[in-house]
Amino acid sequence: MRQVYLLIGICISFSYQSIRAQTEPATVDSLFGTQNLYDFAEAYGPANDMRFYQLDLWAKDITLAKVELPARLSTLLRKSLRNTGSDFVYDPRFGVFLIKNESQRAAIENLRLLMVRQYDQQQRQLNRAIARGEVVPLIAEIQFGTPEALQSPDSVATLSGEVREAKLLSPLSKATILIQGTSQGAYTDSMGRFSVTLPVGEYELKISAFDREEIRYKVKLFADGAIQVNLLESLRTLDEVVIQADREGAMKDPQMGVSSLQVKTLKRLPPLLGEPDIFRSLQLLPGVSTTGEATNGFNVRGGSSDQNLILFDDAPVYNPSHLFGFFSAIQADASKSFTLYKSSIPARYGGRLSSVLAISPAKGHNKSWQIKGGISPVTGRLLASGPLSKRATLLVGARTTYSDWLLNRIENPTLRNSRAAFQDGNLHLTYQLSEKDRLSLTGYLSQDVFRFQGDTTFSYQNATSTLRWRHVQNDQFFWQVFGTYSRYAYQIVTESPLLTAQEIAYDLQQASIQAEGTYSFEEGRQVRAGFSTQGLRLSPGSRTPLENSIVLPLEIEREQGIHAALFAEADWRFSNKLSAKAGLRYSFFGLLGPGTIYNYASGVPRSGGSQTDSTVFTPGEFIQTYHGPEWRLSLAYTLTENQSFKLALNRTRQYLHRMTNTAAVSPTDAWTLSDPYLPPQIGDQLSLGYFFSPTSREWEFSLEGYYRWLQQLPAYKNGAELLLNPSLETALISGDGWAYGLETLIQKNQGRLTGWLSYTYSRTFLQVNGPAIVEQINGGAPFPADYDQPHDLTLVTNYNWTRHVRVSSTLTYRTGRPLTLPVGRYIYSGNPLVSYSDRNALRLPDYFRWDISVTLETAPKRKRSLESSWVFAVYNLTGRANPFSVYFVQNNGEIQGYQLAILGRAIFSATYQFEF
Amino acid sequence: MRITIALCIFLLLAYFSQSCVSPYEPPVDTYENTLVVEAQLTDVQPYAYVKLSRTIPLTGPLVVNPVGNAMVWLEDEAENRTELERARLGEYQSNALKPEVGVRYRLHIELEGGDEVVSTWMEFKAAPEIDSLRTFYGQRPLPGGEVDEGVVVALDAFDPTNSTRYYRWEWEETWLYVVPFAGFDSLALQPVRPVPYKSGRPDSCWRTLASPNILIGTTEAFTEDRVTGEEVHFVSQSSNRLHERYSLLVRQFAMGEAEYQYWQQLQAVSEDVGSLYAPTPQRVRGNLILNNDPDLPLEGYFSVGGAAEKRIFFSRKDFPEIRTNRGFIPCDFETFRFAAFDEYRVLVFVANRGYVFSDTLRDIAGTPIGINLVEGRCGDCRKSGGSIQRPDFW
Repeated sequence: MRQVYLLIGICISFSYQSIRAQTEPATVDSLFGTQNLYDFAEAYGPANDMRFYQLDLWAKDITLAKVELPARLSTLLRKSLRNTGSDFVYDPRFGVFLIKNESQRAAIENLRLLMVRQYDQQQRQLNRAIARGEVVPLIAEIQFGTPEALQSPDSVATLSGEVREAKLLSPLSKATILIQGTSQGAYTDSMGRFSVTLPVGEYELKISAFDREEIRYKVKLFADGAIQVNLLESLRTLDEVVIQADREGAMKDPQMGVSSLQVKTLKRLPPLLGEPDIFRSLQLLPGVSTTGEATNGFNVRGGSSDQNLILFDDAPVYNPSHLFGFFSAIQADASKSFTLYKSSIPARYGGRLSSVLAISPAKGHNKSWQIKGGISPVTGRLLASGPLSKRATLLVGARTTYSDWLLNRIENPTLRNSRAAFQDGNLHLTYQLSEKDRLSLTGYLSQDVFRFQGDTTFSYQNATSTLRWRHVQNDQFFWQVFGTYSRYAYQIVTESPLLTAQEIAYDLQQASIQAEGTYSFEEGRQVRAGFSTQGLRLSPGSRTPLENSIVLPLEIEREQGIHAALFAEADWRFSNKLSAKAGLRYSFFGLLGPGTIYNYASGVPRSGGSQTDSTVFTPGEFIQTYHGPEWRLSLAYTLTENQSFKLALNRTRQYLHRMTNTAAVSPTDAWTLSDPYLPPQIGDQLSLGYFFSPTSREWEFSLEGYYRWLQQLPAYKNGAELLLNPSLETALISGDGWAYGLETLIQKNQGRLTGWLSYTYSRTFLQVNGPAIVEQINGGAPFPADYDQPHDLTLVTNYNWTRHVRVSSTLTYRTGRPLTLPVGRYIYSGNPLVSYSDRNALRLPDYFRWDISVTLETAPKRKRSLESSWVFAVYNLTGRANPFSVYFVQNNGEIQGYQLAILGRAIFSATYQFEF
Repeated sequence: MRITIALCIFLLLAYFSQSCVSPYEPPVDTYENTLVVEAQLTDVQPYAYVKLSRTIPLTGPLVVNPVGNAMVWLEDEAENRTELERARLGEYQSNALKPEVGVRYRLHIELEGGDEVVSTWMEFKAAPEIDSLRTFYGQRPLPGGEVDEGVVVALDAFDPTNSTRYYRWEWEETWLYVVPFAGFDSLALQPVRPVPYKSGRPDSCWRTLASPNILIGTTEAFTEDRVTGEEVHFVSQSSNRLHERYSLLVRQFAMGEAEYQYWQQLQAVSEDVGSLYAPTPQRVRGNLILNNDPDLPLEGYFSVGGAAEKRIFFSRKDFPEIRTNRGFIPCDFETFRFAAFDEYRVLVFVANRGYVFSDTLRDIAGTPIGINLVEGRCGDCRKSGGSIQRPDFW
């Protein structure tokens, strides 16, 4: 195969005129039935991409000369303008400059020279950029082979190539290659490669990718050829893409229920207290909700918050938020993009029931050093990235709060002894071993400390790291191996009263190794397979007395387990209309000794009283194993170029569960492994979608419906204690659930005003119906889940006032979440008791919030050394006190309810951000 | 709870935000005027006892809201019907039916207005005797880091037939206490003179309280139906309970597994009314069904099971290990001299502050020159909730 590498890039536009790269002399085939120069120019210009400068009404008086068609444009003009006192200058780079009379000639010539100077300057810049490899020139046409060399006019040729990101030259996956005028096309694979086989002929290709400048060019394809395309990051033009990675691709990609957000998009949303936040913006997408503002979880399609696998460069993050849910623990600057899989979960991911949120880390620049930072009311952040050598790049970032500093300045001694602080740090290293091998290392650390009134300190830490080796064997095959390590731990230290001073600690560690290979066939067919093994080690809780304390030390027995999986997935295009993505994952989980399992009398509910004896397992012995297949299937049927139907079916299994019996995720919630009494959770989902986008692509419309079945969900007995419970199984019961919903999304992707409107109707029910009364909730009848919020409406808008000023707004409305409340008091058998409603029989008031932000950018141009911006934001503009929770406190036999509205008023923030 | 407050404070500080916790007024329809049925059929008198009330709103004094004018009857499977008679408002009882072991009974209630409550069939189970109530010295931590001393009462029971398995205990404590400055009942005026108590000086009282907690236990995991050393009560030395003489009556009830689970849930939800990060309690369902619809709210349980009881007596003197004495009550006196007698001021102390007359003040010659008033808790034992009536068992 003849390899012709062609460099494609972007032309930098003039500030007020566009340049034309016309090489051939302009010709006139038709006079468009016009008589005068003005009308002719109006008609000819748009049709032939020719600009006429200084075209004014005087040109109506210029009669067109009779010329023999076709004629050169310059001939026609020269003949028409002869003896009129007017003239013209033709510059193939810009177009036709009309000169009404001699007195204007100088001015017009000046204008032209100015444009030439700018053009030249730009051209020089461009040439320098080309020399540095940053920008590549646009070539409008490319030819492979010649028609004469063809043996048969019916033969086909394959156009293959590689799409890279122009700055870092890293592969761009999911870029769309569209063959205009046909229904053919291709997407690049994860190595940025594509290939498409076409009947020989001339085609117009359009190559686009999310947040990149689109490229179009003509290909005369008479033999196999390869191209390399480097797509530049889109300039900050007025057209801003808001969400959805590949707009054209979205139509044909069989995956559904997948939302991608680039961190750049996220930064356009109004921030809370100046922090662009991953989770907060996720909640704006259809199908994603949260039970409140200070919960460090989100719910996807009726799943509980522990059913989301949150991966930072493929390493799980177990507590992904700071300050108990106010901020995402992963700072936006350190991540490049994130993708949420709601229904078409690829087979390479597993271990959680509802969704996968894959956050990819930002990579270091390979050309020059860059520093980014921001100062908001809560935090300061700084991030540096750049090349270490020709082969290596580095990115380091850190963020910290200075609220401790604020607290220390408060007069009130109670508050002065309080603390509320968090820090996080990121590191990303890449090293190009050879042309085919690349190593990368990601590290992440976060820490939270919180103390109130100086007696109890809560703290928790997350750490993850990923070491990855990618190898490209050839155009068809590449593989990667990566290892991850994650740790999550928390401590609760109570210092007073001295007699009961204690520390409660929890620790979870996980190490994994995964290997996978991808083989690409032609025409968008691809197979990926691999395996993963994960080792887990948990210290479910320990209580240690501090000095002089009478608290008894307690340590809940450690748990260890192994979670392994084999997976294979295929992307297969059956025809232009039908494509599929099918995957199978077989997962295995084993709980390993050493361990002690209590046995219980059969036929009665497990309780301390029904414990009979215990079985002791030796180290390495399997205490319990579970395994089963998980299928993932997505189909897309393209009805027309603008419409498609999709179907997805998948099963997921979860072996790690977060124990919580509160509506809000609390910092003391602990993850625990499946054991003989805690079987894996199993989820099935069927979803159907309809996607429509008018040809202009300005608007997009999607409709997705789903139904989910959830089995073996852990539930808890009425009032069960989960923290430091050595026989947790006595608190556990098991239930089933089902969820359904309809998600609609309308997006506007182009123009000064962009954004989306989404509305979701969804319901989630659980049923816990064990044989004994204590093993039932609501007498075994179905009840709405804590996060059942039927109506969810979101409106996100971005308006580019000018190039420098952007106004963004988000509006959220949600049905209030269900609640269980005390409904009365009574005395029973001498005991004062409280009468409660059925589980989740009542609801909180509805949630409504409107946020708005204005961003002022000082330097929208790329080449300025310091780019900075101010973001002024108002969170909760209407100041509505959305109750986050209602709780009750018993005081002298009376029960007083309190509602907690976190952020119950408008909060203004100003953030300064810079980049150089 | 603590976390939430702290979060608020944090925001308050940093952003001058307002307090984010505000009182929550539940919607009017949140308060459910739910029927509460406390019903017991046992083999000590009164055999059948039913107390009907309705729940009260969450705020306001905690009182019983009785339900009168109900028809209450029991039936067995042979359709023998036993009516319960009204004892007090909302309370119904009968000694006509002594339940028999192995027989199933059902409770019916017809309320004024037509609502009907029916229980499921419950089998009567006998309770074994309480073998012993043991007492021993014990300690409990106090808030503030100190240690409280007192007496632990533990129970042993054994059912050789292995059929009881599920137990519930109630206790009733009665103690004798004395006040040091009991004097006279009132003052007669013109001339001012003390009037003695008509029915004895209130210097010694007996006070009786019932267990405020749910006490249950099971032997379901044991091969033998034996309860050993179940701690039913801790009597603290810091009250006046142990000063003179103390008595504890423990009642042991047998019950079925379903009832045990009911009490277990009640016990779990009674401990916490729910804070932000606390477990969410929910309605506890029992064996009573209102109007044939199990989803209609109703509180209570029809308990069926035998009872056994045992009483013990002890006092502080029996436990020399107890060293601390936190029960000391200081007494404040007010002296009124006849020479400048202020009737009105006496009235203020008696009526508003609960002072009582302790003794007469005399000069060297023994002539009364005034009176002393003392705080009620030091001069009249009835002011602390006791009664001067000696109980029958004392």
